[in-house]
Amino acid sequence: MGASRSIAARLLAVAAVLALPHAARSALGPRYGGVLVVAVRDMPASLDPGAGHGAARSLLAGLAHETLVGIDADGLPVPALAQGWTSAAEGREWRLALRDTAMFHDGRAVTSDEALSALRRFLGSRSPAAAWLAAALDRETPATAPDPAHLVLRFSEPRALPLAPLAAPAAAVTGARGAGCGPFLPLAPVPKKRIRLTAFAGHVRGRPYLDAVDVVDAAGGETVEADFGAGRVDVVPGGDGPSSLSASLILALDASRPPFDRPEARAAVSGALDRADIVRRLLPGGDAAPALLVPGILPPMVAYTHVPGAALDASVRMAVGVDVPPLVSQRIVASLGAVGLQVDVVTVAPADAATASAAARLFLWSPEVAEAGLALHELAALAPPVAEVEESLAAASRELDLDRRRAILHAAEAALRDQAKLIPVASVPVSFRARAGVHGLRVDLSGRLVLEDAWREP
Amino acid sequence: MKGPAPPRRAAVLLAVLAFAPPAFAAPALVRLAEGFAGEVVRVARGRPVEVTVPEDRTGHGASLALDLHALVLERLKGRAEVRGSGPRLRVRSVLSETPAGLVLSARVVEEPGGALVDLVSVSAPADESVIALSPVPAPPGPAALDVRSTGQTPLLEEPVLDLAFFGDDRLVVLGPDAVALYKWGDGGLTLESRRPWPGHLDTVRFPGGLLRVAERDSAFWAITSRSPRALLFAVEEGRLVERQQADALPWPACPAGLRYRAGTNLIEGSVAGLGPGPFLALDDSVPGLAVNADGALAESAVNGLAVGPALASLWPGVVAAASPRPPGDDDAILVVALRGGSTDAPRVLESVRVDGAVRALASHARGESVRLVAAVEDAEGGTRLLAMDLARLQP
Repeated sequence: MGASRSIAARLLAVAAVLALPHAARSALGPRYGGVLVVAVRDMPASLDPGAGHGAARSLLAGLAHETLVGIDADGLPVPALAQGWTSAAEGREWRLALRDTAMFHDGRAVTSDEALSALRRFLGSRSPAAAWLAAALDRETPATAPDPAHLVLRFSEPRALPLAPLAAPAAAVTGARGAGCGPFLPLAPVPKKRIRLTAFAGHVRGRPYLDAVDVVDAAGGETVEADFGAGRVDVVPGGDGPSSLSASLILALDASRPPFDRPEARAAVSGALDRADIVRRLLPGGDAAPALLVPGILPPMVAYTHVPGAALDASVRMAVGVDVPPLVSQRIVASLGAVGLQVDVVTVAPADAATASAAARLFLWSPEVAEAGLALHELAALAPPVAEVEESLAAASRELDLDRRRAILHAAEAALRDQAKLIPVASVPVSFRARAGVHGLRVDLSGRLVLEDAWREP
Repeated sequence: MKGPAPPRRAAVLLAVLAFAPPAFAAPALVRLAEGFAGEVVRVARGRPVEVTVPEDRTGHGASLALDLHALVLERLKGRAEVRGSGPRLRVRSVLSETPAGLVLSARVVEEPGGALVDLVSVSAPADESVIALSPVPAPPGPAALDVRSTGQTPLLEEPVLDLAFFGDDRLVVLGPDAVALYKWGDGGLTLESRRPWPGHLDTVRFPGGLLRVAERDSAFWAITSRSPRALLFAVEEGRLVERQQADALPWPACPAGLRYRAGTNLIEGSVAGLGPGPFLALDDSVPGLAVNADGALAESAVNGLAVGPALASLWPGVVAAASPRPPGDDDAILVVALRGGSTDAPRVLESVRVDGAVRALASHARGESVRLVAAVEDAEGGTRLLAMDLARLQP
């Protein structure tokens, strides 16, 4: 025993000297194999990559579909189905080269014909990113497929980050009969209940580690907890697992209805919210900076100050997304009551909360594309047009210097916020809880749970 | 803890010196010193300078920074006045390492006062043909297992899928895109030949690779999960040449050979005594032993100890294996005693902690000792080789 201890001490001492100043990685994984069961709320009826909101829809879109480009953590386009691109005509023409390994789930190669068809479908969708792109593309010949391996986009004038809209889930490339080319291949679903997706060996970034992912509908919170506790579900929404600060909690006021048609009333509502206290008490991991975009997309340039508003005397109806934590919505209702607003709350589905018909709307919002310009463009569409905001966003889309563009986007965000039609409450973490031994899950800045690098221990 | 007896102390010192030349012995360090001295002269514009010893962040030890400091001072002679007091520019630098080479970055401030004058950064590519091993002295102390010397390389240019000794003084390094042959010398590992893997390579998220030295050390087989073909390489006039291709990697007691399951790092093939797999690692010097797909050390079809996906024989009945530790924990090289036909389960004799994931292991007997080489991947995905000379001490 003594000898054994001294060996151990000796080896540990060697190892201590050898140790490098890095976080440890695992020898065990990543490991191929296994099935992951993920519970979602709002299970969509279809895997069609068309526009639409909701965590489940974006999760499934990321599993089953792939886009021409992705967006990195800095908001810059990165290769996906396209392996790269070049620009010509002083930045008005962008030529994307498709990966020669890109293939659909049915085994056919992805060609520029399918990419062009997907682009046309995308441009006709309700996606805010598609609207931006449609307005920016040349009206005569917006896009062509000169050969099977290339897609050419033509813009009416040089634009900043012109390919970023192609990272929208609605821009996914699909083949005949809707075949996708995402990391997982969907099998026959039980509509609105359950769907199994199996690993796709031909994915452009390689076969994912998991053999399959089962996405199941979590109709009731108690059921989800019971299933998680019983080991029937491996990943559930909410909790202390993988997380990212990727949702904005926004209170939208309808400026066409009293009392919010008066700027001072909107200012009073904004001033009634003690953001720091809400975050500290009710939104652990949140950020109280009064900015409309989360810090990862556009770092806030404003410091938080709490200025109580003037007294109001009115009754309003407020639509609240069911994914807003009840204690938070109750606290906000109480805050509004403190300045004289009687609030009648109605709950709505998360996908409908941002556009519900009500004098006030309280909702969690994540951008379709985690790029500051597109995100602000998407947010601006949720409020009545403001000339200053539109001018700033237009200027930002033409500004090719990314530092100057960022400054313009800050001005646009401030202008959008100053109207107090969209009032930022807090940046909120989107989080999940995962069973022990499950690794590689992440949540991106669009609030999407990403599973293509997920793996589980034996 | 007692120190070693003088003869052993000398042996340890000699063993350490076998790895002794600093990682960037001549050309890279000299280039870096020359470039840096030129920048200091440019910024100084005739003013006196004080150049402090660089802060070493390479992990290779203080000697590298001291050597570099001496080289810089040498190259400033006659070009700039160097002094440690009075009005001067103080140059405080940091030496770091990237996969491409060494980087020396410095703040130049005015003294007295400390006003920032300039920022300087100079880099020098690593010598492509030499992977030097930096020594790490083994601590003294009596033990049954003696770590006689240790050394580690700078970051390699690509990940390592498998390692194999090729004869007494050569090491085969299998990467995702190429196979390379290094010769072991006093200065470390010198690249003799590198062959890109021919043909189309599949995209694999976490590829696997397997080497098997064959034909009495005159050739070796290699396969990766990025290619469906196994290749036989030989060395002719110091260069790797491709001799043969096969649908599977020939393996002892495996008539149909081994191949990778498409898109994974899982090895398939029916090995006598082990079944059809899939496996994460095998070592042909220990027949009947493998790491199965669940990370269990499978010994003659009996699944036992949990380990990671790397394996190498040390002595009869003793192997080295990666640890099964999950992310967030330190990884380790496990020294495992096999069952050896007894009813005892395999057991871990020792565990050597390493900071990073052990991706591949190779071993070679050198007289009474064994040289064990591990490919260790750090948190940023860079890979270094860690070499240890191990010996069993007599009780």
